[in-house]
Amino acid sequence: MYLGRRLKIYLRELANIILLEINIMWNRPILYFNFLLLILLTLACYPSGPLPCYSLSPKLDPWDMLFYIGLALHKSSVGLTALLVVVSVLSWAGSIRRGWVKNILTLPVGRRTLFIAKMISVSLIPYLTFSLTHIFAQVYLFHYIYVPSLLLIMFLVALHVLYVFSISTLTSLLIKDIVGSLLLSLAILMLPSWEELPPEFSHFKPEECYLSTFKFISLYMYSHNRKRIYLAFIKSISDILALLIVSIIASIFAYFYFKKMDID
Amino acid sequence: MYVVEVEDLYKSFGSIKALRGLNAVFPKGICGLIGPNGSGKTTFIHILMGLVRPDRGKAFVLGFDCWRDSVEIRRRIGVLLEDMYFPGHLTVREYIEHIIRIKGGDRGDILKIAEDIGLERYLNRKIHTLSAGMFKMLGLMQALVGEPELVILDEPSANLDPLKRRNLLEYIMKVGRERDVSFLISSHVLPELEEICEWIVLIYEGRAVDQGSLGDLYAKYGTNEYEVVSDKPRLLAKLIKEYGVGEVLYIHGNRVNVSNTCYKEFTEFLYKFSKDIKIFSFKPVGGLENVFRQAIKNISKRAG
Repeated sequence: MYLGRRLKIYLRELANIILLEINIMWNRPILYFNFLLLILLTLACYPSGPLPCYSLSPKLDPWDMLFYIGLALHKSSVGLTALLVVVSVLSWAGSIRRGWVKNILTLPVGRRTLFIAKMISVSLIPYLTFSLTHIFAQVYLFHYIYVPSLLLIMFLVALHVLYVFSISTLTSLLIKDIVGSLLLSLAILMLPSWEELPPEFSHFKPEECYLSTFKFISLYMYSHNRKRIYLAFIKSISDILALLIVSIIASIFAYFYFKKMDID
Repeated sequence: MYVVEVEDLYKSFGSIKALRGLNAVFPKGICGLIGPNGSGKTTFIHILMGLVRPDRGKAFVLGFDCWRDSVEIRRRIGVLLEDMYFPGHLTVREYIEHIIRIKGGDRGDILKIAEDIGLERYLNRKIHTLSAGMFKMLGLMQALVGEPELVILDEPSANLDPLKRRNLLEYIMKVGRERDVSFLISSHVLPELEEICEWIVLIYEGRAVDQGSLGDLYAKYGTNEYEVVSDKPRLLAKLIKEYGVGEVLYIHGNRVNVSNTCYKEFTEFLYKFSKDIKIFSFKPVGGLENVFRQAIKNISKRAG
Protein backbone atom coordinates (compact mmCIF):
# COMPACT_ATOMS: atom_id res chain seq x y z
CA MET A 1 0.00 0.00 0.00
CA TYR A 2 2.72 2.40 1.13
CA LEU A 3 4.93 1.52 -1.82
CA GLY A 4 2.02 1.88 -4.19
CA ARG A 5 1.22 5.34 -2.87
CA ARG A 6 4.85 6.41 -3.11
CA LEU A 7 5.04 5.12 -6.67
CA LYS A 8 1.89 7.01 -7.53
CA ILE A 9 3.31 10.24 -6.10
CA TYR A 10 6.58 9.68 -7.93
CA LEU A 11 4.84 9.04 -11.23
CA ARG A 12 2.77 12.18 -10.79
CA GLU A 13 5.93 14.19 -10.11
CA LEU A 14 7.60 12.63 -13.13
CA ALA A 15 4.58 13.41 -15.33
CA ASN A 16 4.68 17.06 -14.21
CA ILE A 17 8.35 17.41 -15.10
CA ILE A 18 7.83 15.66 -18.44
CA LEU A 19 4.96 18.03 -19.22
CA LEU A 20 7.12 21.06 -18.42
CA GLU A 21 10.07 19.71 -20.39
CA ILE A 22 7.89 18.94 -23.41
CA ASN A 23 6.40 22.42 -23.19
CA ILE A 24 9.85 23.95 -23.14
CA MET A 25 11.63 21.73 -25.64
CA TRP A 26 8.90 21.21 -28.19
CA ASN A 27 7.87 24.75 -28.92
CA ARG A 28 6.00 25.20 -32.18
CA PRO A 29 8.83 25.64 -34.72
CA ILE A 30 10.69 22.52 -33.51
CA LEU A 31 7.46 20.52 -33.31
CA TYR A 32 6.42 21.43 -36.85
CA PHE A 33 9.92 20.71 -38.12
CA ASN A 34 9.74 17.28 -36.44
CA PHE A 35 6.44 16.46 -38.16
CA LEU A 36 7.55 17.82 -41.50
CA LEU A 37 10.88 16.03 -41.55
CA LEU A 38 9.83 12.64 -40.26
CA ILE A 39 6.50 12.34 -42.07
CA LEU A 40 7.74 13.55 -45.45
CA LEU A 41 10.91 11.53 -45.24
CA THR A 42 9.04 8.37 -44.30
CA LEU A 43 6.44 8.72 -47.02
CA ALA A 44 9.14 9.48 -49.57
CA CYS A 45 10.95 6.27 -48.74
CA TYR A 46 8.09 3.88 -49.47
CA PRO A 47 7.72 2.56 -52.98
CA SER A 48 4.62 3.81 -54.81
CA GLY A 49 3.75 5.93 -51.82
CA PRO A 50 2.23 9.42 -51.81
CA LEU A 51 5.72 10.87 -52.19
CA PRO A 52 7.49 8.20 -54.15
CA CYS A 53 11.21 8.15 -54.75
CA TYR A 54 10.61 5.15 -56.92
CA SER A 55 7.55 3.14 -57.92
CA LEU A 56 6.96 -0.56 -58.18
CA SER A 57 4.31 -2.80 -59.53
CA PRO A 58 1.06 -2.28 -57.64
CA LYS A 59 0.97 -5.94 -56.57
CA LEU A 60 3.58 -6.83 -53.99
CA ASP A 61 3.97 -10.22 -52.36
CA PRO A 62 4.55 -10.38 -48.55
CA TRP A 63 8.26 -11.01 -48.96
CA ASP A 64 8.61 -7.81 -50.96
CA MET A 65 6.45 -5.99 -48.46
CA LEU A 66 8.65 -6.85 -45.48
CA PHE A 67 11.76 -6.09 -47.47
CA TYR A 68 10.46 -2.68 -48.48
CA ILE A 69 9.39 -1.83 -44.95
CA GLY A 70 12.94 -2.56 -43.76
CA LEU A 71 14.36 -0.57 -46.64
CA ALA A 72 12.08 2.41 -45.98
CA LEU A 73 12.96 2.37 -42.27
CA HIS A 74 16.62 2.13 -43.16
CA LYS A 75 16.49 5.10 -45.53
CA SER A 76 14.29 7.40 -43.49
CA SER A 77 16.05 6.73 -40.16
CA VAL A 78 18.76 9.27 -41.04
CA GLY A 79 16.19 12.00 -40.44
CA LEU A 80 15.29 10.54 -37.04
CA THR A 81 18.95 10.35 -36.04
CA ALA A 82 19.63 13.94 -37.07
CA LEU A 83 16.53 15.28 -35.33
CA LEU A 84 17.20 13.36 -32.13
CA VAL A 85 20.81 14.52 -31.96
CA VAL A 86 19.75 18.15 -32.29
CA VAL A 87 16.92 17.88 -29.75
CA SER A 88 18.98 15.88 -27.22
CA VAL A 89 21.90 18.29 -27.43
CA LEU A 90 19.60 21.29 -27.05
CA SER A 91 17.84 19.61 -24.15
CA TRP A 92 21.09 18.90 -22.28
CA ALA A 93 23.95 21.14 -23.38
CA GLY A 94 21.55 23.95 -24.30
CA SER A 95 19.69 23.76 -20.99
CA ILE A 96 22.88 23.63 -18.96
CA ARG A 97 24.33 26.61 -20.89
CA ARG A 98 21.18 28.71 -20.57
CA GLY A 99 20.74 27.87 -16.89
CA TRP A 100 17.47 25.96 -17.23
CA VAL A 101 18.85 22.84 -15.53
CA LYS A 102 19.98 25.04 -12.65
CA ASN A 103 16.55 26.61 -12.45
CA ILE A 104 14.67 23.31 -12.46
CA LEU A 105 17.03 21.92 -9.81
CA THR A 106 15.98 24.70 -7.44
CA LEU A 107 12.56 23.00 -7.45
CA PRO A 108 11.86 19.76 -5.59
CA VAL A 109 13.05 17.65 -8.51
CA GLY A 110 15.67 14.94 -8.08
CA ARG A 111 18.38 14.45 -10.67
CA ARG A 112 17.13 10.94 -11.43
CA THR A 113 13.64 12.26 -12.11
CA LEU A 114 15.01 15.02 -14.31
CA PHE A 115 17.15 12.54 -16.27
CA ILE A 116 14.21 10.23 -16.91
CA ALA A 117 11.93 13.17 -17.71
CA LYS A 118 14.40 14.52 -20.25
CA MET A 119 14.81 11.10 -21.80
CA ILE A 120 11.06 10.73 -22.27
CA SER A 121 10.37 14.31 -23.30
CA VAL A 122 13.13 14.29 -25.92
CA SER A 123 12.29 10.88 -27.36
CA LEU A 124 8.53 10.55 -27.12
CA ILE A 125 7.43 12.89 -29.92
CA PRO A 126 9.98 11.79 -32.58
CA TYR A 127 9.40 8.16 -31.58
CA LEU A 128 5.65 8.37 -31.99
CA THR A 129 5.84 10.46 -35.17
CA PHE A 130 8.34 8.14 -36.83
CA SER A 131 6.89 4.79 -35.83
CA LEU A 132 3.26 5.80 -36.38
CA THR A 133 4.05 7.23 -39.81
CA HIS A 134 5.69 3.96 -40.79
CA ILE A 135 2.75 1.99 -39.49
CA PHE A 136 0.36 4.27 -41.35
CA ALA A 137 2.43 3.97 -44.51
CA GLN A 138 2.29 0.18 -44.34
CA VAL A 139 -1.44 0.07 -43.89
CA TYR A 140 -2.03 2.73 -46.54
CA LEU A 141 0.26 1.25 -49.14
CA PHE A 142 -0.06 -2.46 -48.63
CA HIS A 143 -3.68 -2.53 -47.35
CA TYR A 144 -2.52 -5.15 -44.88
CA ILE A 145 -1.79 -5.14 -41.14
CA TYR A 146 0.87 -7.59 -40.14
CA VAL A 147 1.02 -7.29 -36.33
CA PRO A 148 4.53 -8.74 -35.75
CA SER A 149 5.90 -6.23 -38.22
CA LEU A 150 4.19 -3.37 -36.35
CA LEU A 151 5.59 -4.57 -33.02
CA LEU A 152 9.00 -4.93 -34.58
CA ILE A 153 8.85 -1.36 -35.86
CA MET A 154 7.91 -0.11 -32.38
CA PHE A 155 10.80 -2.06 -30.84
CA LEU A 156 13.46 -1.13 -33.40
CA VAL A 157 12.55 2.56 -33.41
CA ALA A 158 12.67 2.54 -29.58
CA LEU A 159 16.13 1.00 -29.73
CA HIS A 160 17.27 3.53 -32.31
CA VAL A 161 15.91 6.42 -30.23
CA LEU A 162 17.58 5.09 -27.06
CA TYR A 163 20.90 4.67 -28.87
CA VAL A 164 20.98 8.19 -30.30
CA PHE A 165 19.66 9.74 -27.07
CA SER A 166 22.25 8.02 -24.87
CA ILE A 167 25.19 9.02 -27.07
CA SER A 168 24.02 12.62 -27.52
CA THR A 169 23.28 12.94 -23.81
CA LEU A 170 26.66 11.63 -22.80
CA THR A 171 28.55 13.95 -25.14
CA SER A 172 26.37 16.91 -24.10
CA LEU A 173 27.04 16.29 -20.42
CA LEU A 174 30.76 15.85 -20.95
CA ILE A 175 31.25 18.83 -23.27
CA LYS A 176 28.41 21.14 -22.12
CA ASP A 177 28.68 23.09 -25.35
CA ILE A 178 26.01 22.98 -28.06
CA VAL A 179 28.19 23.05 -31.18
CA GLY A 180 30.85 20.78 -29.71
CA SER A 181 28.28 18.24 -28.55
CA LEU A 182 26.49 18.29 -31.91
CA LEU A 183 29.69 17.67 -33.83
CA LEU A 184 30.95 14.96 -31.50
CA SER A 185 27.59 13.15 -31.35
CA LEU A 186 27.28 13.18 -35.14
CA ALA A 187 30.89 12.04 -35.50
CA ILE A 188 30.30 9.09 -33.15
CA LEU A 189 27.07 8.13 -34.90
CA MET A 190 28.52 8.54 -38.40
CA LEU A 191 31.82 6.82 -37.66
CA PRO A 192 30.56 3.26 -38.30
CA SER A 193 29.56 4.35 -41.82
CA TRP A 194 33.17 5.10 -42.72
CA GLU A 195 34.17 2.61 -45.38
CA GLU A 196 37.78 2.27 -44.20
CA LEU A 197 36.64 0.66 -40.96
CA PRO A 198 36.30 -3.13 -40.56
CA PRO A 199 32.81 -4.50 -41.38
CA GLU A 200 32.17 -5.30 -37.67
CA PHE A 201 31.61 -1.58 -37.10
CA SER A 202 28.44 -1.74 -39.18
CA HIS A 203 26.72 -3.28 -36.13
CA PHE A 204 26.80 0.18 -34.58
CA LYS A 205 24.75 1.73 -37.39
CA PRO A 206 21.16 2.03 -36.14
CA GLU A 207 19.79 2.11 -39.71
CA GLU A 208 21.46 -1.25 -40.39
CA CYS A 209 19.39 -2.84 -37.67
CA TYR A 210 16.10 -2.20 -39.52
CA LEU A 211 17.36 -3.76 -42.70
CA SER A 212 18.93 -6.83 -41.11
CA THR A 213 15.95 -7.56 -38.84
CA PHE A 214 13.32 -7.26 -41.57
CA LYS A 215 15.52 -9.30 -43.89
CA PHE A 216 15.70 -12.05 -41.28
CA ILE A 217 11.94 -11.99 -40.71
CA SER A 218 11.15 -12.24 -44.39
CA LEU A 219 13.66 -15.07 -44.90
CA TYR A 220 12.36 -16.88 -41.85
CA MET A 221 8.83 -16.74 -43.18
CA TYR A 222 9.34 -17.34 -46.86
CA SER A 223 12.72 -19.00 -47.45
CA HIS A 224 13.76 -22.64 -47.12
CA ASN A 225 17.48 -21.98 -47.15
CA ARG A 226 18.42 -22.69 -43.53
CA LYS A 227 21.93 -21.34 -43.84
CA ARG A 228 20.71 -18.01 -45.15
CA ILE A 229 18.14 -17.81 -42.35
CA TYR A 230 20.80 -18.60 -39.76
CA LEU A 231 23.22 -15.98 -41.09
CA ALA A 232 20.46 -13.37 -41.25
CA PHE A 233 19.49 -14.21 -37.67
CA ILE A 234 23.08 -13.78 -36.44
CA LYS A 235 23.41 -10.46 -38.23
CA SER A 236 20.11 -9.21 -36.90
CA ILE A 237 20.80 -10.26 -33.30
CA SER A 238 24.32 -8.80 -33.42
CA ASP A 239 22.96 -5.49 -34.68
CA ILE A 240 20.30 -5.36 -31.97
CA LEU A 241 22.68 -6.39 -29.18
CA ALA A 242 25.39 -3.95 -30.27
CA LEU A 243 22.95 -1.04 -30.14
CA LEU A 244 21.38 -2.23 -26.91
CA ILE A 245 24.68 -2.70 -25.08
CA VAL A 246 26.11 0.66 -26.22
CA SER A 247 22.83 2.38 -25.30
CA ILE A 248 22.74 0.85 -21.82
CA ILE A 249 26.40 1.59 -21.08
CA ALA A 250 26.18 5.16 -22.39
CA SER A 251 22.91 5.81 -20.51
CA ILE A 252 24.25 4.46 -17.21
CA PHE A 253 27.46 6.43 -17.56
CA ALA A 254 25.57 9.62 -18.49
CA TYR A 255 23.16 9.14 -15.57
CA PHE A 256 25.87 8.68 -12.95
CA TYR A 257 27.89 11.55 -14.39
CA PHE A 258 24.82 13.79 -14.21
CA LYS A 259 24.09 12.64 -10.65
CA LYS A 260 27.53 13.77 -9.46
CA MET A 261 28.22 16.78 -11.66
CA ASP A 262 28.30 20.36 -10.44
CA ILE A 263 25.61 22.53 -12.00
CA ASP A 264 27.30 25.88 -11.74
CA MET B 1 17.56 26.93 15.84
CA TYR B 2 19.54 27.81 12.73
CA VAL B 3 17.92 27.56 9.32
CA VAL B 4 21.30 27.24 7.64
CA GLU B 5 24.43 25.86 9.21
CA VAL B 6 27.73 25.19 7.45
CA GLU B 7 30.93 23.87 8.90
CA ASP B 8 34.41 23.91 7.41
CA LEU B 9 33.14 24.09 3.84
CA TYR B 10 35.65 23.78 0.99
CA LYS B 11 35.01 23.93 -2.73
CA SER B 12 37.39 24.32 -5.65
CA PHE B 13 36.77 24.58 -9.37
CA GLY B 14 40.03 23.45 -10.90
CA SER B 15 42.68 25.80 -9.57
CA ILE B 16 40.11 28.31 -8.29
CA LYS B 17 39.39 27.96 -4.61
CA ALA B 18 35.87 29.28 -4.17
CA LEU B 19 35.38 28.30 -0.51
CA ARG B 20 38.22 27.79 1.95
CA GLY B 21 36.78 26.55 5.20
CA LEU B 22 33.57 28.52 5.49
CA ASN B 23 31.88 28.38 8.89
CA ALA B 24 28.58 30.20 9.18
CA VAL B 25 25.16 30.02 10.75
CA PHE B 26 21.93 31.77 9.80
CA PRO B 27 19.17 31.92 12.42
CA LYS B 28 15.45 32.23 11.70
CA GLY B 29 14.47 35.65 10.39
CA ILE B 30 15.90 37.83 7.65
CA CYS B 31 19.62 37.24 7.20
CA GLY B 32 22.11 38.85 4.88
CA LEU B 33 25.17 37.47 3.17
CA ILE B 34 27.66 40.08 2.06
CA GLY B 35 31.01 39.90 0.39
CA PRO B 36 32.88 41.29 -2.61
CA ASN B 37 32.67 39.76 -6.09
CA GLY B 38 34.32 36.34 -6.20
CA SER B 39 34.17 35.85 -2.44
CA GLY B 40 32.19 32.60 -2.82
CA LYS B 41 28.62 33.77 -2.12
CA THR B 42 27.05 32.18 -5.19
CA THR B 43 29.01 28.94 -4.74
CA PHE B 44 27.79 28.85 -1.15
CA ILE B 45 24.17 29.26 -2.30
CA HIS B 46 24.64 26.58 -4.98
CA ILE B 47 25.93 24.20 -2.31
CA LEU B 48 22.85 24.90 -0.19
CA MET B 49 20.68 23.98 -3.18
CA GLY B 50 22.52 20.74 -3.86
CA LEU B 51 23.62 22.07 -7.26
CA VAL B 52 27.28 21.83 -6.31
CA ARG B 53 28.89 19.21 -4.12
CA PRO B 54 31.37 20.52 -1.53
CA ASP B 55 34.87 19.03 -1.55
CA ARG B 56 34.87 18.93 2.24
CA GLY B 57 32.75 20.05 5.16
CA LYS B 58 29.12 19.92 6.20
CA ALA B 59 26.17 22.00 5.09
CA PHE B 60 22.67 21.80 6.50
CA VAL B 61 19.48 23.62 5.57
CA LEU B 62 16.51 23.27 7.95
CA GLY B 63 18.38 20.34 9.49
CA PHE B 64 18.78 18.44 6.19
CA ASP B 65 22.09 17.58 4.54
CA CYS B 66 22.47 19.75 1.45
CA TRP B 67 23.80 17.08 -0.90
CA ARG B 68 22.07 13.94 0.35
CA ASP B 69 18.64 15.47 1.08
CA SER B 70 18.63 18.20 -1.54
CA VAL B 71 15.15 17.34 -2.87
CA GLU B 72 13.71 17.44 0.65
CA ILE B 73 15.34 20.84 1.18
CA ARG B 74 14.03 22.19 -2.11
CA ARG B 75 10.54 21.05 -1.14
CA ARG B 76 10.72 23.41 1.84
CA ILE B 77 12.46 26.41 0.37
CA GLY B 78 12.16 28.89 -2.47
CA VAL B 79 15.10 30.17 -4.45
CA LEU B 80 15.84 33.14 -6.66
CA LEU B 81 19.20 32.75 -8.35
CA GLU B 82 21.21 35.58 -9.82
CA ASP B 83 20.96 34.39 -13.44
CA MET B 84 17.77 32.45 -13.95
CA TYR B 85 16.48 31.19 -17.29
CA PHE B 86 12.78 31.07 -18.03
CA PRO B 87 11.13 29.57 -21.12
CA GLY B 88 10.31 32.66 -23.15
CA HIS B 89 7.47 31.22 -25.22
CA LEU B 90 5.26 30.50 -22.18
CA THR B 91 3.14 33.15 -20.50
CA VAL B 92 3.88 34.07 -16.89
CA ARG B 93 0.69 32.34 -15.78
CA GLU B 94 1.40 29.12 -17.73
CA TYR B 95 4.91 28.98 -16.34
CA ILE B 96 3.86 29.54 -12.73
CA GLU B 97 1.10 26.94 -13.11
CA HIS B 98 3.78 24.43 -14.09
CA ILE B 99 5.83 25.44 -11.06
CA ILE B 100 2.82 25.04 -8.75
CA ARG B 101 2.21 21.55 -10.16
CA ILE B 102 5.79 20.63 -9.28
CA LYS B 103 6.21 22.50 -5.99
CA GLY B 104 2.68 22.10 -4.74
CA GLY B 105 0.58 24.99 -3.55
CA ASP B 106 -2.63 26.73 -4.33
CA ARG B 107 -3.38 28.13 -7.79
CA GLY B 108 -5.21 30.98 -6.09
CA ASP B 109 -1.82 32.10 -4.82
CA ILE B 110 -0.76 33.09 -8.33
CA LEU B 111 -2.89 36.22 -8.42
CA LYS B 112 -2.20 37.09 -4.78
CA ILE B 113 1.58 36.88 -5.08
CA ALA B 114 1.51 38.60 -8.48
CA GLU B 115 -0.46 41.47 -6.99
CA ASP B 116 1.89 41.74 -4.04
CA ILE B 117 4.99 42.00 -6.19
CA GLY B 118 3.42 44.05 -8.97
CA LEU B 119 3.33 41.35 -11.64
CA GLU B 120 -0.46 41.02 -12.00
CA ARG B 121 -0.58 43.03 -15.26
CA TYR B 122 1.98 40.71 -16.82
CA LEU B 123 0.36 37.36 -16.02
CA ASN B 124 -0.84 36.81 -19.58
CA ARG B 125 2.29 38.17 -21.22
CA LYS B 126 4.87 35.89 -22.86
CA ILE B 127 7.96 35.68 -20.68
CA HIS B 128 10.29 36.81 -23.48
CA THR B 129 8.53 40.17 -23.58
CA LEU B 130 9.34 40.93 -19.92
CA SER B 131 12.03 43.39 -18.92
CA ALA B 132 15.08 42.35 -16.87
CA GLY B 133 13.43 43.72 -13.73
CA MET B 134 10.25 41.74 -14.40
CA PHE B 135 12.36 38.62 -14.88
CA LYS B 136 13.60 39.12 -11.33
CA MET B 137 10.06 39.47 -10.08
CA LEU B 138 9.06 36.30 -11.90
CA GLY B 139 11.96 34.52 -10.20
CA LEU B 140 10.77 35.87 -6.88
CA MET B 141 7.25 34.67 -7.63
CA GLN B 142 8.61 31.19 -8.39
CA ALA B 143 10.50 31.27 -5.09
CA LEU B 144 7.42 32.25 -3.11
CA VAL B 145 4.85 29.75 -4.39
CA GLY B 146 4.28 26.64 -2.34
CA GLU B 147 4.60 28.28 1.10
CA PRO B 148 8.36 27.92 1.65
CA GLU B 149 9.87 27.99 5.14
CA LEU B 150 13.03 29.64 3.85
CA VAL B 151 13.60 31.80 0.79
CA ILE B 152 17.10 32.22 -0.59
CA LEU B 153 17.59 35.30 -2.76
CA ASP B 154 20.79 35.89 -4.71
CA GLU B 155 21.07 39.55 -5.71
CA PRO B 156 17.30 40.11 -5.65
CA SER B 157 17.35 43.83 -6.36
CA ALA B 158 19.70 43.73 -9.35
CA ASN B 159 18.01 45.28 -12.44
CA LEU B 160 15.17 46.74 -10.39
CA ASP B 161 14.26 50.42 -10.49
CA PRO B 162 14.27 52.31 -7.14
CA LEU B 163 10.50 52.03 -6.71
CA LYS B 164 10.49 48.28 -7.29
CA ARG B 165 13.47 47.88 -4.95
CA ARG B 166 11.52 49.63 -2.22
CA ASN B 167 8.45 47.47 -2.88
CA LEU B 168 10.59 44.37 -2.82
CA LEU B 169 12.13 45.24 0.54
CA GLU B 170 8.75 46.02 2.03
CA TYR B 171 7.33 42.79 0.64
CA ILE B 172 10.18 40.73 2.09
CA MET B 173 9.62 42.30 5.50
CA LYS B 174 5.86 41.74 5.23
CA VAL B 175 6.20 38.09 4.23
CA GLY B 176 8.85 37.49 6.87
CA ARG B 177 6.58 38.94 9.56
CA GLU B 178 3.17 37.64 8.51
CA ARG B 179 4.00 34.19 7.18
CA ASP B 180 6.95 33.45 9.45
CA VAL B 181 9.22 32.87 6.46
CA SER B 182 12.98 33.16 6.88
CA PHE B 183 15.08 34.85 4.21
CA LEU B 184 18.72 34.49 3.29
CA ILE B 185 19.64 37.39 1.03
CA SER B 186 22.92 37.77 -0.79
CA SER B 187 23.40 41.30 -2.08
CA HIS B 188 25.91 43.99 -2.89
CA VAL B 189 23.48 46.75 -1.98
CA LEU B 190 24.43 47.03 1.66
CA PRO B 191 22.06 49.84 2.70
CA GLU B 192 19.16 47.60 1.65
CA LEU B 193 20.37 44.67 3.70
CA GLU B 194 20.95 47.00 6.60
CA GLU B 195 17.34 48.06 6.42
CA ILE B 196 15.79 44.61 6.59
CA CYS B 197 18.32 42.10 7.95
CA GLU B 198 18.61 41.04 11.54
CA TRP B 199 21.70 38.88 11.05
CA ILE B 200 24.67 39.36 8.76
CA VAL B 201 27.43 37.04 7.60
CA LEU B 202 30.49 38.72 6.06
CA ILE B 203 32.30 36.53 3.59
CA TYR B 204 35.69 37.22 2.04
CA GLU B 205 37.89 34.96 -0.06
CA GLY B 206 35.80 31.90 0.73
CA ARG B 207 35.77 32.35 4.50
CA ALA B 208 33.34 33.97 6.90
CA VAL B 209 35.16 37.03 8.22
CA ASP B 210 32.55 37.70 10.85
CA GLN B 211 28.89 37.13 11.60
CA GLY B 212 26.34 38.31 14.07
CA SER B 213 23.35 40.51 14.66
CA LEU B 214 23.48 43.97 13.14
CA GLY B 215 23.81 45.53 16.57
CA ASP B 216 26.78 43.36 17.50
CA LEU B 217 28.54 44.10 14.24
CA TYR B 218 27.93 47.83 14.60
CA ALA B 219 29.28 47.70 18.11
CA LYS B 220 32.34 45.76 16.99
CA TYR B 221 33.25 47.65 13.83
CA GLY B 222 30.94 50.60 13.49
CA THR B 223 31.82 54.20 14.04
CA ASN B 224 30.68 55.78 17.22
CA GLU B 225 28.27 58.01 15.37
CA TYR B 226 24.63 57.13 14.68
CA GLU B 227 21.96 58.84 12.65
CA VAL B 228 18.33 58.82 13.73
CA VAL B 229 15.55 60.02 11.42
CA SER B 230 12.35 60.85 13.30
CA ASP B 231 9.24 63.02 13.12
CA LYS B 232 10.25 65.01 16.26
CA PRO B 233 14.01 65.50 16.10
CA ARG B 234 14.15 68.29 18.68
CA LEU B 235 12.19 66.36 21.28
CA LEU B 236 14.39 63.34 20.61
CA ALA B 237 17.58 65.37 21.08
CA LYS B 238 16.21 66.70 24.36
CA LEU B 239 15.41 63.23 25.65
CA ILE B 240 18.86 61.90 24.63
CA LYS B 241 20.48 64.62 26.69
CA GLU B 242 18.10 64.05 29.61
CA TYR B 243 18.66 60.30 29.74
CA GLY B 244 22.37 60.55 28.98
CA VAL B 245 22.31 57.78 26.36
CA GLY B 246 24.62 59.69 24.03
CA GLU B 247 25.94 63.03 22.92
CA VAL B 248 23.88 64.95 20.36
CA LEU B 249 26.27 66.20 17.67
CA TYR B 250 23.81 68.14 15.54
CA ILE B 251 20.24 68.25 14.25
CA HIS B 252 19.66 68.62 10.50
CA GLY B 253 16.08 68.61 9.23
CA ASN B 254 14.49 65.50 10.72
CA ARG B 255 17.90 63.87 11.36
CA VAL B 256 19.66 63.75 14.72
CA ASN B 257 23.30 62.65 14.82
CA VAL B 258 24.42 61.11 18.10
CA SER B 259 27.84 59.92 19.28
CA ASN B 260 29.22 58.02 22.30
CA THR B 261 26.34 55.64 22.50
CA CYS B 262 25.87 51.90 22.72
CA TYR B 263 23.75 50.41 19.88
CA LYS B 264 21.78 48.06 22.11
CA GLU B 265 21.16 50.59 24.84
CA PHE B 266 20.14 53.22 22.33
CA THR B 267 17.74 50.81 20.56
CA GLU B 268 16.03 50.13 23.89
CA PHE B 269 15.84 53.85 24.55
CA LEU B 270 14.19 54.49 21.16
CA TYR B 271 11.76 51.65 21.74
CA LYS B 272 10.79 53.16 25.09
CA PHE B 273 9.70 56.40 23.42
CA SER B 274 8.29 54.86 20.28
CA LYS B 275 4.76 55.88 21.26
CA ASP B 276 5.65 59.56 21.39
CA ILE B 277 8.27 59.76 18.67
CA LYS B 278 8.05 58.02 15.31
CA ILE B 279 11.44 56.66 14.24
CA PHE B 280 11.92 56.26 10.48
CA SER B 281 15.46 54.94 10.60
CA PHE B 282 18.35 54.37 12.98
CA LYS B 283 21.76 53.35 11.73
CA PRO B 284 25.41 54.13 12.25
CA VAL B 285 26.98 56.74 9.99
CA GLY B 286 28.76 54.77 7.31
CA GLY B 287 26.54 51.83 8.21
CA LEU B 288 27.15 48.31 7.03
CA GLU B 289 29.59 49.54 4.40
CA ASN B 290 31.82 50.78 7.17
CA VAL B 291 31.46 47.50 9.06
CA PHE B 292 32.40 45.61 5.94
CA ARG B 293 35.43 47.83 5.21
CA GLN B 294 36.68 47.53 8.78
CA ALA B 295 36.26 43.76 8.85
CA ILE B 296 38.19 43.34 5.58
CA LYS B 297 40.88 45.72 6.84
CA ASN B 298 41.27 43.66 10.02
CA ILE B 299 41.61 40.46 8.04
CA SER B 300 44.15 42.01 5.66
CA LYS B 301 46.15 43.32 8.62
CA ARG B 302 46.19 39.88 10.24
CA ALA B 303 47.18 38.23 6.95
CA GLY B 304 49.80 40.90 6.16
